Amino acid sequence: MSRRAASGLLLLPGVALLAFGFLYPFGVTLFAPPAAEDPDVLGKLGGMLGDGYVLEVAARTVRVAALTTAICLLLGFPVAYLIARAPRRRQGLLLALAVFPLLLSTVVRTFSWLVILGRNGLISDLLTALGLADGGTQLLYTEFALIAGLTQLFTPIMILTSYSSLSHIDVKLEEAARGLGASPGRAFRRVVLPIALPGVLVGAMLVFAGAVTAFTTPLLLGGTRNRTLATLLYDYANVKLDWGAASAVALIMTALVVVAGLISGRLSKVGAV
Amino acid sequence: MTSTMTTTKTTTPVVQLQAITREFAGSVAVDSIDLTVRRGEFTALLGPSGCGKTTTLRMIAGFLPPTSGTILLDGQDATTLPPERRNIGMVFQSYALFPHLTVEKNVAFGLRMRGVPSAEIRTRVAEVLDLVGLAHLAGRKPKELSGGQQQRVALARAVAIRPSVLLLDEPLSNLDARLRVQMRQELLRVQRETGLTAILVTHDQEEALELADNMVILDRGRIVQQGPPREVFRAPATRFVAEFLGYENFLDLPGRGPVTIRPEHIGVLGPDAEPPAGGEVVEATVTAVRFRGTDFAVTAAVGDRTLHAITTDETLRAGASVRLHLPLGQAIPLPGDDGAARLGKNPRQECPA
Amino acid sequence: MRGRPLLTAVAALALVFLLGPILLVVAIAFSSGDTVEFPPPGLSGKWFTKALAYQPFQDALTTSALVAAGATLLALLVGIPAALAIQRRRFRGRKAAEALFLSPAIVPELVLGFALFQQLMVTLRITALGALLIGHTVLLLPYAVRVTGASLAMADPALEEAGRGLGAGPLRTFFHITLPVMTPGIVSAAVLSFLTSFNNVPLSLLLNGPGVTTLPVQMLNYVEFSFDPVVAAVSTLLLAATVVVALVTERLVGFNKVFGK
Repeated sequence: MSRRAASGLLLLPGVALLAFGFLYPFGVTLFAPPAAEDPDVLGKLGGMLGDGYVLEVAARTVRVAALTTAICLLLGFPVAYLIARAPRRRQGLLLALAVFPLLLSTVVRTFSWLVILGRNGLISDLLTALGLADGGTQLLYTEFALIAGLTQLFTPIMILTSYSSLSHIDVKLEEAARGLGASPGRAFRRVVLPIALPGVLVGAMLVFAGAVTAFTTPLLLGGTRNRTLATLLYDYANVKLDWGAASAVALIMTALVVVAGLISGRLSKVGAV
Repeated sequence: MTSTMTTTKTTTPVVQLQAITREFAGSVAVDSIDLTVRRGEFTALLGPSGCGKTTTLRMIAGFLPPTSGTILLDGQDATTLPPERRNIGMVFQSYALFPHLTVEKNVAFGLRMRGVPSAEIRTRVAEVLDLVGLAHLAGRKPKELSGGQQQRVALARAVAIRPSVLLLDEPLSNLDARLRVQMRQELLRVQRETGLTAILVTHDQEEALELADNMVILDRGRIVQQGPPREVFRAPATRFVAEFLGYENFLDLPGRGPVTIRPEHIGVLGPDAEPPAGGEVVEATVTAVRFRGTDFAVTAAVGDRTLHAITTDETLRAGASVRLHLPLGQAIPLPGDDGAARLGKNPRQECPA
Repeated sequence: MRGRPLLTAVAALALVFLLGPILLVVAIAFSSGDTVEFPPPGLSGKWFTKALAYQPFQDALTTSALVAAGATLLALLVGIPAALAIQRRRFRGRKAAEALFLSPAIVPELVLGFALFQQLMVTLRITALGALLIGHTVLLLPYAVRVTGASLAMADPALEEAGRGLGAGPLRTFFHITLPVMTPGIVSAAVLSFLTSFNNVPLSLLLNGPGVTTLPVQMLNYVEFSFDPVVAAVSTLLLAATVVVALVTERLVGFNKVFGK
């Protein structure tokens, strides 16, 4: 058997699975859904983009995802930095604590926000107790709720990517900068940050893409008032049964994610140099 | 474990390469090499990186098919034989110890693959571990061993199968300098005690000089010189070989062509010293003096040429004017050369394996 | 951390923000009250009893475990050979093959779920369980290929040559050397895959059918109609199970390996 044939044989089951379970359904659904009454997805897309509502939802999705990414960066990077600079034998435990939530269901992780942000929730009670409100403050189904939930969901990813970027930077680089007369702050800004930046930005793009496509959190915390593209797609697909429209929304979501992916690919190449 | 060689088989070379060539994507890594390795002999393939020595070894092992040519093992055509049917014992540069197996299981691996009965495996593994002095570490995993110990396990594993030839791919290059020198003798002892035929790939000329019965020097995929180390060292055929073996002074003598002189043969003369009879005296300017412990290595400029000499004169400083005595009678001719320096001037092609 | 009070404060805040809400759920699960409230009026285990006795959760747990185990197994069976080809062989299109195997990870899960629902369930009339299994396997394949591939990439390629040189043929080399060397990667990939499948909502929500609903989807359904500590109790049980998985993983291969660290 030739080497090429052997390689092909090893790849064949996976390629077959991906062709049948991914490429075929994905391609057909995005571009020519036969089951839809109106299979012209691009025409539908044009119509929807003229419709203010879809644009509003798309804008909200991007806005929420961007803010989420920014906050994840502000919270996650310092944690990653401290872990990367902690004693070696403690790094593992700290990292495990920070990323453990990734192994939990999003339903579990989102549930607590219903308790915290709801009309009878923690924050509402706190505001009432402080005399700042008279009970029943509803923070759920707002963009704030979305951002809070998504940030909690994605900060571990930011910590993980930042950590792997930072852990490759030798502490001695900072010491060398200090030895050359830089203050700790300057050593960090002039030496650590520029080296870590590409990896950190790749993490940011991951968070952004995740926040754009997140479904459970917007469903529970955004409700019908603050829909994102994901909950809108679900609404078209499963409630309104307008599959052409669902395909069009799917196309928008996919485009957003692919653009984020391309930017991230660019950044990681810059980082590799 | 000492296996005396049988006289009947001594006549058949263990390894014979006939016009072996290997190309990688159009560039030639090994260029029509002929090589004969006799039973019980220690052969060293020596050369700079990219000279084709590792590629040659990998073809002998069967990891890489030659583009053309024939490989005979024990007189049989083995050119297309897969590695598992060649009965070779290979020691890798990275050792390639199986991380999931203990030292004992690593060494036993080849015997298990050969279906040797387990009782016999136990005794043979014990024997070989004894041979390399690691019997007390049989239960350890490779990552619990030092570099030198890992090296010994790799050697034991290769020796355990009683291979027809032991292939050593830069086996000592991952050890620190002191240990490397120790392990050379260790390697030689194991090879002598087992009576195994060995082929060593190295870029370290000291290693080759110390270990080899037959030293084969490669440059850009070709064998440039081979023979017993003393002969090759005393009479390098070309400037490339001479430079590789550490010679530094190269002269082109009228009527004699290119020659080299050993630094310790060049005399550094004080202001009123009488030059010894014979040879030639030249005026030079000292450009650097390096302290070497017992003596000093002097670099001096003679016109646009640089010469290297050894002296015990402690007062010599860079910038001093000296006279150098060149004993031309002791100059070694480089017959295979046209005098053009090759080392360092020609970009050496890198072969990808 | 000396000299970095601001940094330390932000990091502490982040950890509270990450772990606090999860602990809150645990506290609520043990509440003796009749509604979701914090702090709970007293402690009791009644919500656990209720959660465990709730038939739809029991059925959903079976479905989830079956799908997660099946998809993990399939993804490894298909992914390990692919990782071997991508990491250990040189052939034209190697980079393209790698990109293809990782591509399901960049596509929105909800879109994949919608596509599979339309083409597999509506057009080809494949059952919900079949579609779930295919969809989850596709979802897990990138993890399987990447994590097992990483364990191969870290191993010395000379190991396999050493095996061949010592007399093992290609198959024996694979089973005696390559597979054992990959084992930590396979364990990591299996843990990550199982949990990813088990926790998935978007695919599972769209690919459901009569009697085929996964646990997270069933929890979601429950929350939409009744807001009591039952879901907190289920969450706490899942949390405990996940902690156990994490501890076992730590013992086997090192917890952080699961994330490629």
